[in-house]
Amino acid sequence: MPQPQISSPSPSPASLVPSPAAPAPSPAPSALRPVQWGMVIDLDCCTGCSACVVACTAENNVPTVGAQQCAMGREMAWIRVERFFEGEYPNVSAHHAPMLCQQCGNAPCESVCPVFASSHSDDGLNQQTYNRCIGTRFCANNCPYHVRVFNWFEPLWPDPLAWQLNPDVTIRSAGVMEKCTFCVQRIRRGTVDAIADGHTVRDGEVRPACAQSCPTHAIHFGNLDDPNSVVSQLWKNHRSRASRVLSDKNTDPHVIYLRRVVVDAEDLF
Amino acid sequence: MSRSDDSSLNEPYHAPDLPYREIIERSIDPMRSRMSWRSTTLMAVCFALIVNGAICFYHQFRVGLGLAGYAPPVFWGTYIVTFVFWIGVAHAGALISALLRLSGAEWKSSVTRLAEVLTLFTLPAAAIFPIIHLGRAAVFYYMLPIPNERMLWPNFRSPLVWDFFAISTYMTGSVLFLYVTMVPDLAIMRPHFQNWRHRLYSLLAWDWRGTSGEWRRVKEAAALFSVVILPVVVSVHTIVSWDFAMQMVPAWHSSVFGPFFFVGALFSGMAAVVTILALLKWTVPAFEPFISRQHFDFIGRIWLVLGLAWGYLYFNEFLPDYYTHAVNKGDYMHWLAFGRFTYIFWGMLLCNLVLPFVALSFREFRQNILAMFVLSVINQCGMYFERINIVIGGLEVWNPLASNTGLYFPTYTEVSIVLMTVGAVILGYMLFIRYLPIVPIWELLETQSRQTVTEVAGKKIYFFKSGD
Repeated sequence: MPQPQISSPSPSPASLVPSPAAPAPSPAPSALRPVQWGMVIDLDCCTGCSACVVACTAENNVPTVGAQQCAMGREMAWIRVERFFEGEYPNVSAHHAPMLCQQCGNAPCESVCPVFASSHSDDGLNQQTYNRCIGTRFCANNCPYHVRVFNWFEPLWPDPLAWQLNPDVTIRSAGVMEKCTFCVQRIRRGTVDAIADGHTVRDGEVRPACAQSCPTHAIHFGNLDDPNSVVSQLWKNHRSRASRVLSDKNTDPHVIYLRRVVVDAEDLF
Repeated sequence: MSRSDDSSLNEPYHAPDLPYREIIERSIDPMRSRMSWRSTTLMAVCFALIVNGAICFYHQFRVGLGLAGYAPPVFWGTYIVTFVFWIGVAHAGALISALLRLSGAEWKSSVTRLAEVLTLFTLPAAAIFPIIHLGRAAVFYYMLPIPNERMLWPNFRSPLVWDFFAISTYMTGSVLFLYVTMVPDLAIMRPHFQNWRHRLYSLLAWDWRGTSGEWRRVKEAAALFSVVILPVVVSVHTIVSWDFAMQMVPAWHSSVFGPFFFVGALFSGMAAVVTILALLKWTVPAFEPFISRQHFDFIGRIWLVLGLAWGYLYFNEFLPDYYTHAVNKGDYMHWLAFGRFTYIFWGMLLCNLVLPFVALSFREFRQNILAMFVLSVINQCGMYFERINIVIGGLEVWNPLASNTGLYFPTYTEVSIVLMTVGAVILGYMLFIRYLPIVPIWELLETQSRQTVTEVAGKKIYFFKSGD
């Protein structure tokens, strides 16, 4: 049984030195190619209902901080729904865009962390190591999306709230940064289950909480490296309305937004 | 009245015309005299500030950094502002002593150690702020390259790690610089004290006997340190500026930040030296002949030049962005001029550019010690304003998306901790004056020994024979 690989395999000494006795290693089948997790968010479907925010908070043990702290901008949500208003009163229209960590391939937060608490995984995740974080907040300053949140105080869950904590997710202490992980606990669980079943992660087997809870299926999650995955297909087929946020910053985000199609009523007739 | 007629203003510098014995007596006077009630009170106030700040820091350490006024996207605040401010003040020491030593200025003797001691206390005051500002201050040592079983090293791409190396190098260099040039003075002090102080000075003076070999080594070391410490000084504040300039924040992402911060640091450092010089002249009567109006005049000239350079670089930072219509930087400029802290921006221009430029251009002003003292305090406030504009303004303005519009304002905790370092610097300085020679006695004596007086047409003319 071929061992499925999540990260790009490092060449074994045997493959570096081709010996006449052993046959040359065959190229890895496409199913075994390394994974690059990514997300496609179709803004045409997004209604701004904030179900993703609630699901994320429940799944990832995101602390709630109360009204006073929220007023200071210290809300801990890992995903938020950005509102953009267009036009002048009375012809105002609102646009929504869920904003979460863009899991940048060229992440500004990683290079500035003095202790490597912010680092990149082989499968394209921008990961935050809570135990290593010392709380310089350098990464938060350097994130153009402002999606990193800081534990200003020790997070508290008064008693009934503590019952709903997800045991798969670490509880963060005061003084560390945190942010969207693409629900890394689900990715790891899905990968391990797939390996146990003897195959690689199939498209749709891993879904973060936000994608799972989206009532209009605006959020899609999958392997951007697999040309047949839903996210790659969406990205390819909707290339005319696909864009990445603040692309001029050259951060190479792994979240692709599909622009909302606005049809002027006069154009229809 | 034409200015050139006023001969007292044009008088060239000359070393104090005193016998050796009296120079030594005067230099060690503050170490032997009893403390006045004023200095006792000031020390008590400083101690109270330190205790108050320490309690606040302990509270913050236990409860969380939320006690400070941070409001995302402003993740850095007063702590970083004060860190940059103290680093700036700490730059005076090396500049004054190294530059003046290298240029062979005869008037340097009474100023050099005073400036170096300023570095000795303000640099640690600066260095604790990056730790106070950490979310988990207890594990700050993760930033240091300490060998460990997991082979986890700091990220050498991060400017904060460079900061650590720059500051620790500067600290080591300036302490050694200060100590090496102090060894002969400690030897001079030995016979003037008894008991533990005698033993302390004997220990610190390393059995100095005053042989020509020892003198040669001290002079060589002083010259060597003067040369070596200059690039360190440049690197320290340039690297502090890279903490900002290496980020994507538009107000910070500027290639001119290195020289701009460096010149700003020297500028505020000069102001700090003037403040200390004036305070010493007023509070220690024995130092009267050592600190003359000429000192203020000469330092005022350097100060003026640095102020002009600072002004040039400040506007240089904005002009390219103005011409290229950089949108984000335009927001920042608008915030400065008309934003929440508009009075800080205009106050800064007044304190840092207008007042020093107008005032320091006149020799009458430069030689007026009270006026120089007031200007130096104003100037340091202005430089603090400048750092507020950069750190807090730069972050508050940068909001490329719609959310995250926090408004930062410092809290009691932050102000207390800042005042703690102010108290610590003042207390440290006062203790230094009490227990160690703040005036480099041997350098004063040496300058005086090279001074020759001739009387021409009833006027005394001083000149210096060149040293060995």
